[in-house]
Amino acid sequence: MANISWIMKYAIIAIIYLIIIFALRIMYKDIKGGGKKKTVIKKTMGLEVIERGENFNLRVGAVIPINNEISIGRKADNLLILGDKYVSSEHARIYRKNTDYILQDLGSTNGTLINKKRVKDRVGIKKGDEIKIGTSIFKVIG
Amino acid sequence: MESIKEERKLLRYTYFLCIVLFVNIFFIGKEGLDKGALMMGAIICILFAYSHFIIRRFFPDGDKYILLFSNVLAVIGMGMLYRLDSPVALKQLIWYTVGIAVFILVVVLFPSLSNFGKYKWVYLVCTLILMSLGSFFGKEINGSKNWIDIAGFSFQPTEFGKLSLVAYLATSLQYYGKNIKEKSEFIKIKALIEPGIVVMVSLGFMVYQKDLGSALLFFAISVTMLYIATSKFRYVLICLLLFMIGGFISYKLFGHVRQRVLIWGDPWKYGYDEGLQLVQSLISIASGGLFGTGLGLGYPKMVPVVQTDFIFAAICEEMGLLTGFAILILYFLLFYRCMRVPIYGKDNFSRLLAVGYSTMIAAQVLVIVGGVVGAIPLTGITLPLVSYGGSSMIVTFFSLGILQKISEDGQSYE
Amino acid sequence: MNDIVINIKKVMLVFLILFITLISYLTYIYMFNSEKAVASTFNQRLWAERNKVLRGTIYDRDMKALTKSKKTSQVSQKEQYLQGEIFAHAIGYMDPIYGLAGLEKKYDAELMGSEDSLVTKFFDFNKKEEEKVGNGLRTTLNSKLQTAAYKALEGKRGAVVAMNPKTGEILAMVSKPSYDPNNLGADWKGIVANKNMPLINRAVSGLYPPGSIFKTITAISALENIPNVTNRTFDDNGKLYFNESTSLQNFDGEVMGNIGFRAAFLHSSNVVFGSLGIDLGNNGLKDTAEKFYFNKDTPASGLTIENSKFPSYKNYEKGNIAQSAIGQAGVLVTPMEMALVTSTVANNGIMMKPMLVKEILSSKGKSLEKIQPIQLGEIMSKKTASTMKDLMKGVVAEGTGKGAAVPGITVSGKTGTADHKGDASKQVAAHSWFIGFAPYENPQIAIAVIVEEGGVGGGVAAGITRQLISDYLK
Repeated sequence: MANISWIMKYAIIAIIYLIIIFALRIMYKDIKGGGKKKTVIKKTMGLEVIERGENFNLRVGAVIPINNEISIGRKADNLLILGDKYVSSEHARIYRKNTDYILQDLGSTNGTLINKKRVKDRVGIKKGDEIKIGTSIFKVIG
Repeated sequence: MESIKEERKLLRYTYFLCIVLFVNIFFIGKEGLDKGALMMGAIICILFAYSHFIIRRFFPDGDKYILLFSNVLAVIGMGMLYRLDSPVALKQLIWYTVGIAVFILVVVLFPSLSNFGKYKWVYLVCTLILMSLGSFFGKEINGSKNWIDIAGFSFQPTEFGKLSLVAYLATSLQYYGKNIKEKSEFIKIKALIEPGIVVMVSLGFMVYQKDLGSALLFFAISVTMLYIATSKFRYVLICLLLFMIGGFISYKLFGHVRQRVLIWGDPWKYGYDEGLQLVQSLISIASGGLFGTGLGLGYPKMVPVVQTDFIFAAICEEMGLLTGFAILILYFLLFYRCMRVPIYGKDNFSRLLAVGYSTMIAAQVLVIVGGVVGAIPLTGITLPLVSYGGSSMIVTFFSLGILQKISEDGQSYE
Repeated sequence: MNDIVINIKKVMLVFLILFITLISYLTYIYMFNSEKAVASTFNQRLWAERNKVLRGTIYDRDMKALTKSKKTSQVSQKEQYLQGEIFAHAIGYMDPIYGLAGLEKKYDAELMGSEDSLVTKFFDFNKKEEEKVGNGLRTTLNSKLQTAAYKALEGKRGAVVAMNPKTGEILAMVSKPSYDPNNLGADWKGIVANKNMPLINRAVSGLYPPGSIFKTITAISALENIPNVTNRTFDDNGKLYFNESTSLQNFDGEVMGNIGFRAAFLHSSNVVFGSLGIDLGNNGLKDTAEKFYFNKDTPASGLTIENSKFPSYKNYEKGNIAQSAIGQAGVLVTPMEMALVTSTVANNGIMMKPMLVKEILSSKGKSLEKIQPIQLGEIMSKKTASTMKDLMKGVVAEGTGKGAAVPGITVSGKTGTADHKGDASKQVAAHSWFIGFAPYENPQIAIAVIVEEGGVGGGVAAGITRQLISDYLK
């Protein structure tokens, strides 16, 4: 019976080295593919325009997709530009954290409202939430 | 998408390894077939699956390989421990489970680690307390006086002290050189005095407690963190010089240091008493050959302390020198993944913390394996994840958890 | 801070180099130091491997166990000797400190060998790992006879060898003083310091002057080389002169007068046999002796026999030649040698190879090897053998060997009273010898007995022979 070990020792060594070689291959491919890992997740969210308010660049019913990160404000370098006067230059941002999306108020003058409540710093958003920035209202869809 | 498939494949190999190991042990049981081995293998596979699932599902941003490599190392350790002494292996399984739990809890519960950079004084006090506990209340086991008994469990406070020391150093060094206006070297060095003193005091306690391995470890960690923070190679040289002076002094002062060095020089001369451990370890490794004798067919129990410090020798004897090499490679790969974390880290505190914990694990491996094969004098520290030891397992998984957390932080878009 | 990234890469490189160095060091010591490590005295693995087999048992000819083995640790075993001192010299001992001796040494490989083949073991998945037990030895020894011989030598020093003349099987081999092989550790110092040297197996290693029992060989030599010697008449006037000063005489100075060859043998005339010795010459006697393996290694199975010695003398050394013909001067024999001589006579002149082991058995009792009796050669003609048998019958019936007679069984033999120097050349009693076989018609047992300083051969030694033959054949 003990002689089983005599054969299995080769199997054990083989498997360990397979793990090492395989892991090395994957990591090598990773490096070649470039730095930060872009984990694509199945869950994507978007903002549907419910009320455009004084932001005439918005169309009601349009959906703005959130790919990992979206910056919102009056400055032109934001992904979502809202021109009305109640919107600060860098008003807010929504970013992905693992499997959730977080809405962060960047210290705006008039604040960001989620479901009529003011956002203090940051809060997680889910499908169906209503976000009001300036005069525009968006609904979170998933 | 591909990465999921490949991860799964890798995970499958890990299951496979666990199964093969424990089926082997199943067959070699002393009184016929050992069903306990099969159960243990099954439990470990479940733990693998569960931990991987949690990390994958809830925290897909972080590094996947840290957990994977750790699991491979841990299962090799538990397999060998079961062959050596099954009750001990069961205890190790419990510690492993606690470790995994700690790992997951750290990743789940801790908020972003950058916040922790403020608590310098807490870490300082913790470090000093933990380091000194051994000297004041400790009892001597196996030549080092750094074990504490609480409610029947023995643990080493210096193991936990390592954690708080790294945290303390990270907090102290994170602002080094931040004020570019003050280019004066002198002012920069002033900032280093306080951490320098703390490190030296800790080292002092450890040498006094005869825990030379941990002392060497601390030193390596501190120097590495210093270099990462300051980029000044000459500080490293100065530290090495100090180390050599310190080493020389302690050689002259302390009998137990002299003894270790003498035994290392020619272990065969002392083969009957002081050198017994090293000599038996060398014989054990040599008896296995490249492929080992096979589990249960060798005589690893002839090596003293084989469940903790010398488990590497037992693995080389029965599973082969090739497995020994593989373990070293796995540790290096683990180190590599851990060191990638600070590259993408967001702030200096996290980065320094990550560097510290990564170095801690890698240096520990080098010191103990080096001692066991006779490359450097022997010290009494454990092989992380593989040796039997609750403190070691918990501390290692805690560090790995922090690393995982930082890696996940670093990948986020926050 | 790109600085950090570069630093980290540098640190990684340093550690990579350290790991590679460690792996290289490991490879280095494996390639160059591993042989030294494995062969070192600190490596107990070889002992543990050897110890995996429980040593086999040694049995007497009726399959009664004489030894019992037990594992005492991972690397050692203890052997228990069930009959203690009685079989000590025949079986020998196995001791972790003092090593191996006797049968334990000669058959060490068989006792530690196991019959199981690799293939059957491999597929034994379901059974508990069975303990491997070594093969057993079935000796030729007869426990009853051995014990009787041991008891017969109670309080004396000497040896008894009994064998089956037809096969060469050794039925008993006793040497006294003996020792207890169960207690070697405790007794060793005493054993080694004992002046009487209990460790020596006197039966095969004790060299003694044979005295008159050597006349058997002289008689054989005369019968083979001197035609018509049986018809000759000798003039025995009690002394044989070689020159003016040196002479040889009969026991107690007895004068036998005119006697024939037969009478000279029956009454052990030194004068007659001394002169026969001179007639045969040193070469003549030596040739005959060497046919019996004197001065040569005697082939034997399971034991090593010390070479008996017959000296070479120049033609003018008449005194020595005569003395050698009566078993004195430089002649030295082992009890085993004389038992062989007796067996050969009993076996019609054919010498059988002495053997101590009959059969090798597996631990389960299966016979692995049967050791066959082997003829060593025809040492004398059938006619000579027949004459000798008759002569020896006469010794017990009418001659000096009456002490060996057993009612109802015809015992044949020869007495011997061997003079020897004790230490410090003080006068010591002669050694008492007797060689014999029985029954006359169909010999079953040939025996040689020596009692050191036991006096006349016809006394103690003959008595022991009578008792043993009686025990064995009745």
